[in-house]
Amino acid sequence: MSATQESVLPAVAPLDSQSFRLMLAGLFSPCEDQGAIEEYRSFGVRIAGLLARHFGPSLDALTKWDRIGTAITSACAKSPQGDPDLLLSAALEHVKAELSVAANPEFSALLTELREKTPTWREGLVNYLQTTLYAVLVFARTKHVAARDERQVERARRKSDDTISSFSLGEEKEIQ
Amino acid sequence: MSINRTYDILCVSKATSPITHNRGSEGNETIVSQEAVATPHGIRWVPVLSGNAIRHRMIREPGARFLVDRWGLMGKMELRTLQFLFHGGSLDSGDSNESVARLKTWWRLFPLIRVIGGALPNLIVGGSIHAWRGIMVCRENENRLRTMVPADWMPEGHLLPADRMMGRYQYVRQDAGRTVPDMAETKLMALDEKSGQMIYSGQCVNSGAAFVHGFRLRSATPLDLGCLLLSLGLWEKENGTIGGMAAKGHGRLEMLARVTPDADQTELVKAYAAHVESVKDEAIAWLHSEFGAPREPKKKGKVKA
Repeated sequence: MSATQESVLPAVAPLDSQSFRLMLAGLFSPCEDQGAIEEYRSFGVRIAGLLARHFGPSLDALTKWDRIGTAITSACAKSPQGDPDLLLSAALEHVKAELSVAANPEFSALLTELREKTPTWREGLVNYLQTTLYAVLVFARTKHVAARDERQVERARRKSDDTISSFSLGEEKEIQ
Repeated sequence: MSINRTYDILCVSKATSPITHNRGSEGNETIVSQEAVATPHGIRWVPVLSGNAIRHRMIREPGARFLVDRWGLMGKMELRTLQFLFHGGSLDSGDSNESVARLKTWWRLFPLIRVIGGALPNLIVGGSIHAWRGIMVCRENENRLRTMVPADWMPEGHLLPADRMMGRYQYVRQDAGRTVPDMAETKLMALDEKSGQMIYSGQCVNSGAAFVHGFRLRSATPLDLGCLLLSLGLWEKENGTIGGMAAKGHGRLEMLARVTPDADQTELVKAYAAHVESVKDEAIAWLHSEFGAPREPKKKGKVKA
């Protein structure tokens, strides 16, 4: 056998514990701890809530929750590692949020909190959002509607207070 | 002197393209081969690679191709010889001839057949290999996987369920009457014919999914092990596939392997290749004696005036 023939004989790449783990990377469920799942849900609801509040005025409000769902799906696909800047920006862009969202303290808080999390945790969040999107939207919508109702009640109460105070002032004037 | 012993070869293969190792079809859809696995939550069906497919694709075929190449047999074999080398042969003669001397010659000349077994027309012998099934790396198989790999290899946590690694493919067989009607004899005639377009689809295992599989070589010599490792290496090097639709890019696997007890793979492979070279003439003569030499092409007679 010639030396050339010998040199081209193939060998199988070696397997050890490290290469085995590398081979299996991505095949593990990032987190199944109940506490972490609660935290993922909370973040999911906050992200969806932020998108609902900053839903672009040029879009059809009737498609709001469909659009928020596709915004989250699309953002997760664009940032499978859950990079906070990209994840939130991509989602906000999808709902055509105005740049004034930068002034929202909730947006700033979400960004900061997500940046403080470990990469594995963030991957877990993306995985959670991808696998439980419908549930996240239900929780977010319930919270969003409750907050909206609360705001309406508050507005009505203020309006009623204003009417009473103006009425009272009128009465005082008449007495005088 | 060669020492016979047992070798275990543990392999992990990751799909780098969709795997369509099918068990059949339902209507127009192909269904991936699956097996029932008893889990703590009941019986679950998960994709599997059959040991038969693994043995053929990863060992027999590349090993036989190597022999044909090294012995310069391309185009010089009877169909029965090819059947023996590539598909194990068949026992089609009524009188069995179980001579130990004959068997020893056979094994000496063909470590490949000693490893995977085969049949001469009047003698059938099993191989020394046990090919494991390709077990998918998924949650349903967690308990089985822990028995297959060293205890400290499995990372903490739970694997994804098999369903997360299942996908679908769809292709369309186009109709020439629609794609290139201008090349038809009569344009209008081609367009008038009923469309031959066909959509076909089915299940697949997604790229990125992994399978743990392996082999146990019983009572094997270092030459047998060298033969097995060379075949696996050739399969990997030549972009070997598993399952169907390789013509469409399906079935590609990236493989890593570990031999126990530890062995110098390069030396074993070299020793096997040298052995193949050393028995070349004897092996070719043996193949011809067992299956017949290729027939000479008929000479044409003189054309009568």
